Amino acid sequence: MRQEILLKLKNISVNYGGVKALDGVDINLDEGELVALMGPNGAGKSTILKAIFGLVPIQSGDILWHNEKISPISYQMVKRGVSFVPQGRRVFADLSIKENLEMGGFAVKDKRIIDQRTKRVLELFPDLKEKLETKARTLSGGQQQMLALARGLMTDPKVLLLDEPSLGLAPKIAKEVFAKIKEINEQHKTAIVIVEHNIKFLLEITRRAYILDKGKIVAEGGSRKLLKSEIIEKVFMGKTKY
Amino acid sequence: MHEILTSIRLALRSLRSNVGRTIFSLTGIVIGVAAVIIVLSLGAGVRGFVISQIEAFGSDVIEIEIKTPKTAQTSAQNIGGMVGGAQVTTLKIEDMEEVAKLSNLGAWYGGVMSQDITSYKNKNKQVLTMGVTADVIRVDEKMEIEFGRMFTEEDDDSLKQVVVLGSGIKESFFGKEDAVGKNIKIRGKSFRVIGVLKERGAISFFDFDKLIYVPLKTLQKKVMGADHITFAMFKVKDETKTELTTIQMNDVMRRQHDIDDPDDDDFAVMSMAEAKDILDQVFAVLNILLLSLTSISLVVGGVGIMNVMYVTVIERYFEIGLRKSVGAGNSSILAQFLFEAIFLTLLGGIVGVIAGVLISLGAEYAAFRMGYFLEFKVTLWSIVVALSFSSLTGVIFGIYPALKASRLSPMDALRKE
Repeated sequence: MRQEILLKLKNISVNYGGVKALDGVDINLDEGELVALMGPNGAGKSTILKAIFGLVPIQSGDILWHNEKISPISYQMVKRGVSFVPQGRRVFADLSIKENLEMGGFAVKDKRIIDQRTKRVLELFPDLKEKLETKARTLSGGQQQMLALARGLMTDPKVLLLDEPSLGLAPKIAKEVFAKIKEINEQHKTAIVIVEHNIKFLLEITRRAYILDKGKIVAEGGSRKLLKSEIIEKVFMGKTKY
Repeated sequence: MHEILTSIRLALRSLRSNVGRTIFSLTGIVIGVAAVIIVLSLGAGVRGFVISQIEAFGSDVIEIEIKTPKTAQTSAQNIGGMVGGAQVTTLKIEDMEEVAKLSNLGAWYGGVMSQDITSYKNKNKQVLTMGVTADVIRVDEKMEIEFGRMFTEEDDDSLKQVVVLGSGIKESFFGKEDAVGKNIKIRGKSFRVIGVLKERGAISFFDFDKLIYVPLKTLQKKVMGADHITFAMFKVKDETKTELTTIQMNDVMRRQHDIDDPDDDDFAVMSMAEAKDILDQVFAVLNILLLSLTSISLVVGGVGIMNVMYVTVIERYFEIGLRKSVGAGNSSILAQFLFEAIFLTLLGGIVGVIAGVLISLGAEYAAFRMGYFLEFKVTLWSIVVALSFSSLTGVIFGIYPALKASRLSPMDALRKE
């Protein structure tokens, strides 16, 4: 049975100083779904996440949230239930793990709820639980990425936007991160849109994917089917002509 | 509330994690605030000192002194004339006797001052001699006899050549030796010492201990060859009526001197309460002037804070972007950086207050060592003014960098490391 469409991007275009970063992009995200955005560097993957979260202005097109047209502004998107984990293991380096998590719950005004969420999130990340007062800057790359993920869950989001979570991580650590992402999706039923260049890992955890190139969606469908298609090679080897 | 607390916590955290920068950026504010504290405490100290000197004459005293017609009526302007002899010679003891008939006036004395070469054996000194009526000791409560006695009205009327020495003059001429009964010479004329006063100290540059008191008429007739006085002091019976009595004294004096236009007054009547009011006004204006000057250093400190905050914002693009990505609005970012600037200046203010207090105490001690009892009062008011100024500086000079931070494009912020 098909889930209700949670988030819909209709014909979205984004310009960066005259350069078209996204050109008529259509994307659907169902409730509890884990969707991948793939493509070479500069394809516009991260821009899609930023457009959803209101971090870049949209030139044209519509974003629908529960079939309702919205104009995304980051702090309002957080309140709606969208959480964004930016690229590059972004953590508040001078704050402790606990304070980082509290910052993640910034939009939640009730201290009791923040405490409850911290407890629940830490059950999912037991490694962090042991180092609650440790400053984030002293954590390893993998731990920082886990912390960024954990922080993203503090608002109890319906949608988690993950921008290249394995960037700069050793393959073994990256695998752990992806396993955790899958766990979040399956246990919490959190819909996830993940941008990733590591196709192998990505296709192991997602069932549906969009392939982008030069700001356009060039393919869409089941992950495994896409992996076997020629389009992957064409896109990543720069052999596409549009 | 949660947003504000988070902004405050982040601001404090940032200041703590950059101790070196925090200290350097504080310096300007510390200097500015310390200057404000020093100026205010110095002002309060000097004011207290001057007022205490006035009060040394007693707040229940009204003075009549000579005044050059058509000039302002202040003691300071007349003192040169009073001592140096440049003269308004119209003030007479008879005028004072007439004034003294006013019902609210009690004991009084009139006086004239003269500078004379005085000698004892082979010691010569230029000394300030005060010719005064005998009641001086009833009006001037700080005047106390240590040895011998004060001269009397009879001594004065019979033009006796007697003197009462200030303790300092006695020390200069006689040392430990007993002075009473010995003779000194004023302008070559012999005067017998009948009394020595207790040590009293100085009022500003006027040292009571270096005075020689001579019966008024004796000084006028046998030394100066004059019949005028330069001042008189009157005790007031009911202080609540001082203002009215002052007006009545003016009336009597104008009648005595046949004056219609107050501009032609050749005398000035001033109560000590009035003198205090005038001084209060002078010090208030002086305080404003000095505060304006010291506030320049606060502005310079503020510009320093603005520079530091501006650099801080650029350094923390990444943090700003990250905060926006967890749902912080522009107002939260603005609050964070504004609080940081305010805390920075407030901290500078606190350190400045401490520095100002220490410097004031040091100045008080230095003045004490030089023989001045100046109390540099650091009042709660001055601390509140200094801290408010410094915090306000934080708001004024922190707002621009904070606005820049809050309006930063999240896209740019997240792109930068």
